[in-house]
Order: sequence, then structure tokens, then C-alpha cells
Amino acid sequence: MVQQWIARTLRTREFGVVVVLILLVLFISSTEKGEAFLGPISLQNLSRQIALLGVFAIGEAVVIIAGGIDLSVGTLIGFTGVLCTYLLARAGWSLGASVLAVLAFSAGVGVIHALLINRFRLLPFIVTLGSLFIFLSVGQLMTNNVPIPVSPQDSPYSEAFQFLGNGKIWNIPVPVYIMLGVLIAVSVLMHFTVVGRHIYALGNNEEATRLSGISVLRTQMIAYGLCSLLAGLAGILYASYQRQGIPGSGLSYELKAIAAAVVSGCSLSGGQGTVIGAVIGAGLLNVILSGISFVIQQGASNWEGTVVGTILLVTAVLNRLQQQWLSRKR
Amino acid sequence: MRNSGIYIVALAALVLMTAGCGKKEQASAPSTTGEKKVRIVLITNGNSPFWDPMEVGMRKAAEELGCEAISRRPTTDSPALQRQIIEEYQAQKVDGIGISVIESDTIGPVIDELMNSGIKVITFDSDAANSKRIAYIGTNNFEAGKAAGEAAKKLLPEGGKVFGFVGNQNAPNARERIAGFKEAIKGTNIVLVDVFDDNKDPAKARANVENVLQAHKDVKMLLGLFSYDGPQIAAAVKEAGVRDKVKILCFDAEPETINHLKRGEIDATVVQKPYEFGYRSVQLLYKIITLGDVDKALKEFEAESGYKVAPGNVIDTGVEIITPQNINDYLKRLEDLGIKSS
Repeated sequence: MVQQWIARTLRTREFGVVVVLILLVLFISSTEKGEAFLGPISLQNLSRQIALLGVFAIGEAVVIIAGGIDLSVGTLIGFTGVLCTYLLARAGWSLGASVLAVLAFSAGVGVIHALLINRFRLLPFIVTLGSLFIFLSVGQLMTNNVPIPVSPQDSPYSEAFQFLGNGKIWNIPVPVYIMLGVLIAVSVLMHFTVVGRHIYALGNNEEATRLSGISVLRTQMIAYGLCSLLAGLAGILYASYQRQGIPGSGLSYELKAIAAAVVSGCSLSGGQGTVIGAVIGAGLLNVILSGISFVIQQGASNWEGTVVGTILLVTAVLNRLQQQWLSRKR
Repeated sequence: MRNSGIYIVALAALVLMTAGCGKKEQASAPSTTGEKKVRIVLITNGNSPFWDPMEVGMRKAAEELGCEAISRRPTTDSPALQRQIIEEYQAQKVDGIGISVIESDTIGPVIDELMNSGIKVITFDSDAANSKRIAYIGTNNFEAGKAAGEAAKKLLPEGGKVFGFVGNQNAPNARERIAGFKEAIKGTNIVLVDVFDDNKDPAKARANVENVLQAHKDVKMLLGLFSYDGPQIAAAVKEAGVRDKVKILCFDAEPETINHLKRGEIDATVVQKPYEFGYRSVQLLYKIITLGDVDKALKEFEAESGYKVAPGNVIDTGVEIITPQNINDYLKRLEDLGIKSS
């Protein structure tokens, strides 16, 4: 029984990424300046970065598992950050009302995506590319391209708002708790409910899903709605982390989310992968990005793309070799 | 349930990682303080060639003082990314950090946290006056805008319509440059008709210039307010074949700007002193760290550098106007400092 469990774990794609992740951490902490990498400040920063990315990478993973893609999460993060700070600082709403409004709006965005994709038979790529541009611009229109700060004179809820992205409970950053809550909730949804089974089924074979009497539209609404909802949540957290809503921010974050989801097993053709894989992927990306500062002393930023790209490719190749090896063994 | 194994492994890893957060500062090993070199990091607001001479100045100062200085250029101008990078060096417990602040609302509180944790912080190029930063070294952008306005008066004695091009006209440095320019042209026939945003996309800047040249045949001068705007203006004007009708005034000295100046394709550029940003930032941080007394450090700095420390500990390094006439002298001086052409 235990042996079976171990064997099954070793076989998952996520396991390969965890191994790469552990090797990377060991490597970084063994370098000259790397001793601080596993120090408390570094771990707090790192876990917060992983959580911020993880929140919306989970949503992206759900859409990818459902056989779709959502390119709009990046600029939706920027826009919802602006929307949230606007409601707080300009419209004088309470924190709870602002957060609820932003989350409801975001979920609505996903439902509209699903409707457009389903009713007009449009490609998810095109629909969400359209919204990518719209959110970028609407945020700029709303603010004349000037960020909206949330200081105590702007809103009585300023401190509570700043706590979301910057605060710590028992020395662990608040976004980490939020991300873990999201991870558990979405994992339960994906693996222990009918809805989750439908999402996997939809990603595997849309036609078969339709023929078996499952509502494709409803399933898409849930997948895209969840993805946009989590982008909205990330937007609130990023706005708090940046202490202001910044129009035009979040650009290209969708690529990070897709990379995080795909690197540990979500297949772009749908039906495969897990949401925890997306969080592990987010961990891998951020360990690389933070580690670069410790390992490379001069010109670190110029190395980012090369290092991230190479490790993504190596991980993908290792994943494939692992799967081939396992299928031969069987 | 088929994936429960990986969940348990990953959760365990997360718990282990976050458990490390609980440990207090003592985790860092006691270092051999006597031998340790002072470590200084300068973090820019982006990755443009503007920062090349800054790094030359930084290395020169580090070499002279015998300290370690490195620079870090974020790949985008995202405040979240700059904050992340600053926090990485906070974790490394460097002695001093200089920052060209992307957004003072985001970075100001981070600076306060660094100062509280004992890391000395100054700002350069772009300030966060709302923070506990010790001093600011950079260009007074209002004065730089005024210098541009004075140059415009010389180039357009009769006056005329001017259009401006900039990354984001609401960015603090852009606002100040525009205000300074307007101040200088007050009472003349020069009018700054409009300013166009390009969100730091040079291709967008080029398109903006092309549109203005098409829509306003009576334009007399194009003003490039950010470093990459000058070359884009020069290229668009050349392409449209209207060089004889339009004056070009810009900021900074990117390699392409210098090439255009040498060929007389740009009339004047207002240059800041990025070499000085790097050199003086390291010099000042080193004094603050080694003397342990800010007032004493600033006094010594004032005496040695020849710069005045203004109220609020603001240090203006000034600007120069470079034209096709004096470009060669300027390049010669840069070469003597060890800067290629930028």
C-alpha cells in the first residue's frame, strides 16, 4: 500500500519539478552569497512572491485543464487593482464592499469570456486577447494614466488594505494564507466534485462531453469565471503590495501564469495537470528569479530570461523523458 | 485521489519553507566584521543605455574607495518588480542601497523598512521624498526643463509651435521637465501645443512623431523628453524629409542621439550626468556607512565633491546643453572618464 503510494507519487509529472526545485535551492544556497537565501527575510519575500503568482496561476491552470487559455489575466490584474483602489480612495467605499465588488466584477468577466467562446464559437485565444487590450486601456482611461495611492488620508481602510499584500501573521506573509486557502478550495473542486470531473472531461474531449449530456457552457463559465475571479483577487493583492493601483501594470503576467501551469504538467491541449502543479511551477519560477540576485553579482537582470527559459526547457525535457521511461516500464 | 501523493509532498515542502520564516534574525552566521568589505548596490529604474556611464562611475568610486559596488537594472519599469529586487538585497544584508525610484508610493515604505533594518539608503535620479532616505543625488528636472526652454529660445528666436514626446507625461520627472520648459518660454512666441505619451515604447514614440508631422504642417520644433524619444524624432523627421523646417531638441545622450548630433540631425540635447549619479552615490553611501554619522558624511561629501547639499538633503548634479558644435569636446571628456559613447 505504502509502496504503491510512493510509486504513484514518483510517477507524477509534478514530482520531477519538485526535484528540480530542490536541486536549485541547494545550488543557490551553496554559492558564496547564497547563505542568506534560506534566511528568514529571503524566505518571507520568496513565499510572498510565490503566493502572489500562485493565486492566479491556479486560475490559469483550471482554464488550461478545461482545454482553453486566458491571456487577459495580466491586464485584468492591473485593472482590478485600479478598480479596487478607485473604489476605496476615490469613491469612499469600505474595504469589504470594494473587495466584493472587484471579485464579482472579475467573475463576471470570466462568464462573459465563456459566453463569447461558446455562443459565437470563438477561439479562447482571440476572446481573451481582446480583453487583454481593453483592460490595459480602460485602466488608463479611468485614471488618466496616474496611479491611485491608498494612504490614510485617501481612505479610512488604508491600513487594512495594505495589510492584505504586506502584512504578516506569525511571520508568514498574508498572501501565503490566501493562496493556500485558494489552493485547497480549488483542489477540492477539481478532484472531489462533479464540476471538477466535468472540467477534466471538457479538456479531454469537448464533443464527447457534449454528447454525454454535460453542459459545456456551464462548465466553461465555471472555469473561466474562476480564472478571472482569481485574477481579480491577485489584482487586489498586487495593488496592496504596490500600495497603489497602477494602470498598465500586470502586463505579461499571463505568460508567467501559463509557464507556471505548463511546466509541471498542465497540457495546453487540455485534460491534464493539477492546480497544485501550478503552485509548484510558481515556486520554480520565483526561486529562479530570486536566486539570480544571489548567484549573479553583476548584470543579473539581463540573465533572467536566459536562465528562466533554459530551466523551463530542461524541466520540460526531463518531464517527457520521465513519462517515456515510465510508460516503457509498464 | 490519484494525485494525493504529490499534494502531501508539496504541502510538506511548503510547510518546511514557511516554517523557516518563523526563525528570527539570529539565523545569519556572525561574520568576520573586521575583514568585511562594504557592500553597496545601486538599483536603476529600468534597463536603458542611459545607465552605462552610471555603472562606470560606480565602479570607479568603488575602486578608489576599496569597497564592493554592484548595479542591478530591472528588466521593466514595474514598481512590484523593483520592490522584489530591493527585498532580495535586503535579504543579503548589504550595507547600502541606492535606488532610482520607479514609484515613490510603492518604494517609499520599502525604503523606510530598509532604514529600520540598518541598511543605509539614498535615492538617485528619481527621488522618494516621502521616505526616510538619507539623501537624493540627481538632476533637478524643473531646472533641466528650464535649460531646455532656454535652448529652444535660441533655436526659435521667432517663436512657433512645439510638440513634446514622452513616456508618460504624468510621471514626476516628465511633469517637472514640462513645467520648467513652460516657465522658460513664458513671454515668448514659442507655444508648447501638446505632449504625446508613448508608454516607453520607442515604436509608439516614432508613430506619434509621424502623426504630428502629418497633422501639423506648421510645427517648428519637436521636443523629446525621455532618452529614447530623441532618436525616434530624428528618424521620423529624416524620413518625412522636413529637416529644414523643424528643429529637434531632446534629452539625454543615447548612442543614437550622439550619432544624430554628429551629423547635425538633432539641434541640441540636454544631458544629465549619469556618471556622477553612480560615482557620487557610492562615494556618499560609503561615507555614511563608514563614518556612521550622516551630518558629518554630508559635510565631508560637500567639501570633496563641490556639490551643494540643499534642504531635504537634495544634491543637484546639473545639466549641460550639447549641440553639433560642442559634441566632440563632450565625447572627449567622456572618454577621459572611461565612457565609450553614450
